[in-house]
Amino acid sequence: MEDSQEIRLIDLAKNGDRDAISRLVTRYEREIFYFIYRMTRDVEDAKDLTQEVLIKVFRKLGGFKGNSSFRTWLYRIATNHTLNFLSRGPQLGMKAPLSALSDPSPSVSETMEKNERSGHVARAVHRLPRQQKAIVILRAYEGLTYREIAEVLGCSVGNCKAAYHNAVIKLREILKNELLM
Amino acid sequence: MNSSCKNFQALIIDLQQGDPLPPKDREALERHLATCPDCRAFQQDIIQMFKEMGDETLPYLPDEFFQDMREKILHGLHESAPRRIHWARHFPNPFQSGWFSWRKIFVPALSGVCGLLLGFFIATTWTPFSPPSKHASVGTQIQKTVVQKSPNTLALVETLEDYITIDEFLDSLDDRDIQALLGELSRDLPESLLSETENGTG
Repeated sequence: MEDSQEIRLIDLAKNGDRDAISRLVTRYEREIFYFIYRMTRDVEDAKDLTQEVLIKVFRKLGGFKGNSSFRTWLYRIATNHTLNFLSRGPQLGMKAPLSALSDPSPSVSETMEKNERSGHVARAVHRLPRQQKAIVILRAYEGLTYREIAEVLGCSVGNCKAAYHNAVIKLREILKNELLM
Repeated sequence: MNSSCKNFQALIIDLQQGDPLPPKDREALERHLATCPDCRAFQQDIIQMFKEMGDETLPYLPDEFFQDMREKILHGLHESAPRRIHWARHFPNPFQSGWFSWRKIFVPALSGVCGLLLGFFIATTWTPFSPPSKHASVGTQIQKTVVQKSPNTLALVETLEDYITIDEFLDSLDDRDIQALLGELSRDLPESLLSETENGTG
């Protein structure tokens, strides 16, 4: 559940307070951008989708009843919007090389090796079916609990847990088949 | 790998994910890992996979990008939503307003009345088709001929209308009337009827 300050900001944002909206956007914009980037693996698509999602969130804010946390509600809209986008057609994915976009780190060779290794896993995640990909990203990368993922995807906690286990096992198989593990 | 391995793999995933396992499950997993090389290999792979996920390097985006996006979002929120034409306002559905709001009552009642009117109309106008009998057709022909050919036999026509068949009609006539009738109609009556009539009268 969100803190009292966030609840106050949500109430103000519902009444169209620009400052409250701006502060809520600031709080979640990066998290949502990186979630969508992990789903699409395309920076330009992620930029556009993040903007669309946040506009949608604040347009629909009047319908937020507080039954789930604001963060979970935000992820639900972001997940549905991104899954709709992905279902529209084949996405090339992984268009932008990670090494070219990464923040410079102290050791170039170390960074490159890290990028290469994490890039293998990222590519394997990208090859999962859309729903499984969403579950893996929400759980393993974004750290949502099974209960929160169940609220985001509209399924039971048990189904969500089983789907996540299957997705991780499949991810391992993909990496094994490509001799990356 | 046996059937229980799948359950232990789920526990391995949850453990590496950071979920606390109940002590009973943890002990069972440790016992199983001590005897199952496949699950030990699985555990190593999962540890490595989660480590690599944590090492992921994300694209760097400057603060200016997010600031610009925030402004676009605020601007987008204050833009009017795409205008939708409210067709209902221009062309109201008659079934959704006014009198038809009572359609749950009126529609069945109206259908019933229409059905009754249609039934009444059919019952009063439609006559079932049945092939005319030989005598009836002859009778009709006689009637028409009498009316057209001889005004003097109108009395016979009136008489004829009281009879259903030609036999009944002929039985009601005496010889003199028959001869008079045959004399009037001999040119128009069919040959078969003439012969039948002559035979009937002897």
